[in-house]
Amino acid sequence: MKRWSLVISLLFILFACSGCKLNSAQLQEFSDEKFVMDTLVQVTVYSDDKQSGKEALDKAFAEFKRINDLTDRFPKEGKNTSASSDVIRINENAGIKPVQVGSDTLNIVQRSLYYAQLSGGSFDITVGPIMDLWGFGKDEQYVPSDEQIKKALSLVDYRKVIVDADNGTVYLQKPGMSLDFGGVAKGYATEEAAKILRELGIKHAIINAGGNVYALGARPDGSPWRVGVRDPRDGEKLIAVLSVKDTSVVTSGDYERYFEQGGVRYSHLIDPSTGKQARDLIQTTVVAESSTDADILNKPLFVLGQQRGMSFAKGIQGVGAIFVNADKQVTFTDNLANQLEFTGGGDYQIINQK
Amino acid sequence: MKNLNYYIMAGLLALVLISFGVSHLVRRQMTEGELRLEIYADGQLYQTINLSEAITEEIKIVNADGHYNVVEIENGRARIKEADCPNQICVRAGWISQPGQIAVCVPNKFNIAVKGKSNKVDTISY
Repeated sequence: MKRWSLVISLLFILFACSGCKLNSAQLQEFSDEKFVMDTLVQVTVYSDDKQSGKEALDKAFAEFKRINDLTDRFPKEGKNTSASSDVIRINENAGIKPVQVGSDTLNIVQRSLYYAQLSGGSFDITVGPIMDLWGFGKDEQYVPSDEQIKKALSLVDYRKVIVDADNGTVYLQKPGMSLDFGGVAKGYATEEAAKILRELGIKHAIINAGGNVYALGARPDGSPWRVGVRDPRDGEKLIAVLSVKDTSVVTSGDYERYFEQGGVRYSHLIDPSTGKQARDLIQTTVVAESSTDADILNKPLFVLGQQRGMSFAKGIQGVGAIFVNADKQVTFTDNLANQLEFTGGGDYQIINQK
Repeated sequence: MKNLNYYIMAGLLALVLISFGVSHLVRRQMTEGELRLEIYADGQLYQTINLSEAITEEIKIVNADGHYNVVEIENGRARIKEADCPNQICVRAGWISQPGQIAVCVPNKFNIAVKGKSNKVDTISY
C-alpha cells in the first residue's frame, strides 16, 4: 500500500511539472499599434507575464508620444504648442534668442549636426522653410518656382544652428529659419522606446514606426529576426530580407510621400543644397545599431546617390546600406553579405560594388 | 501487487506523454493559422476577415469625423481602393497579401494589415 501511494505521488509531481513547464516558461506575444508621429507605430514584445507584457507596450507608446510632443513643429488643435514642443519654441525664436531645451532635443540636434557636417550638408535639419514651400507636412503640395526655392534656400544652413550644450540651449541665427525633425525624430523615438523595453527586462521585441524598424534581441527561439524590405515599385512584394539581432533597419523611398504634377513624381526626399528632389535613387535602406543613426543616414545616402552614397556609407563604422537606383540596379555594402537575401523578382539587377 | 504497480505507472506515463503531445499540437495550430485581413479604425480592431476564404467584396468604413476609406478584397489580397484623405498614400500602397504587409491612412487614422504566421519575415521596413 505504501509503495502504491509513493508511485502515484511521484507521477503526480511529474504530471504537474509537465504542465507548469509548458505554461510558465512559455513566452507570450503582446502586440499593439497606434497612430503617433504622423505614422502607424507597431510594437510587439515577448514576455512570460501578461501584466509586464502590457505594461511594456504602454510605456513604449508613451515614449513615442513624449518625443512627438517635444519635436513636432506644427501646432495642432491646441495640442502642440510652444509650451510642449521644444522645436516650436526654437523656430519661434529664430534670430531672436537661444532657447532652453530638454536633453532629448539637445541629443537630436547634436546628432543631426554631426551627420550634417560629415555629409557636407546632404542632410540638414534646417530644411523647414524648403519643406514648407513644397507643402510637405501640409495637406497641399505644389511645385514652387526657382525664385521661390532660392529664397527658401537662403534660410537653410545647419551651420547657423548654435548649440550651447553646457546651458542646454539651441539658437537659430537667422529670422525665418526653422528646424524640421522629420528625418530623425522617428528614429530617435524608436531608439528611446527600445531602451525602455530593455530596462523593463524585455529580451525579444520588434518596433516598427512607419517602416522604421528596431529588432530587439533575437526571436524567442534564438534565431535572428527577419526584416523584409519593401519592393520600391511593387508594394505587394519584398526586394530583400535582412536577418538581424539588436539592430535597426530603416528604409527611405520616393514611393511613400510624394505628389505628381505634369506626369512627374515629386517625393519628399529633397536635396538641401538644390531645394529639389534627389533623383538618382528610388530607395535606400540603412542597417545600424542605433535607430537614430539609421533614420538620419538614409537622407544623405539618398541625396548623395548610388556612388557617392556608397563611399559615404563605407566610411562609417558599423553601418550597412542598400541602394536601389532609378534603373533598378541594386548595390549594397559588403558587410551585409552574410545577412542579406534578395527576394525581388527579375526586375532588379544586383550589382555589387567593391 | 508488483504487476499492478507496473500497469499504473505505464498508464500514467502514457497520460503525461499524451498531454505533451496535445498541447504541442494545439500550439502549432494556433501559430499556423490561415491568413487574415485585419481592419483597424482609429487604432481599434474593426473587423477580421479570413483572406483565403473571402469572397470579392468592398467595405466602406466611415470614421467618427465623417471621413471614409473603402477596402476591396479579392483572390486572397486586399487594398484600400478609395479614400477621402488629402495625400492618398493609403491608396497608392496598392494590394497587400503577405503577413506583415499594411496599408495605412494616417489622416483618417485607418489601416488594414495582413496577419498570420509567416515563414518569411517578422516585420517589413518601407
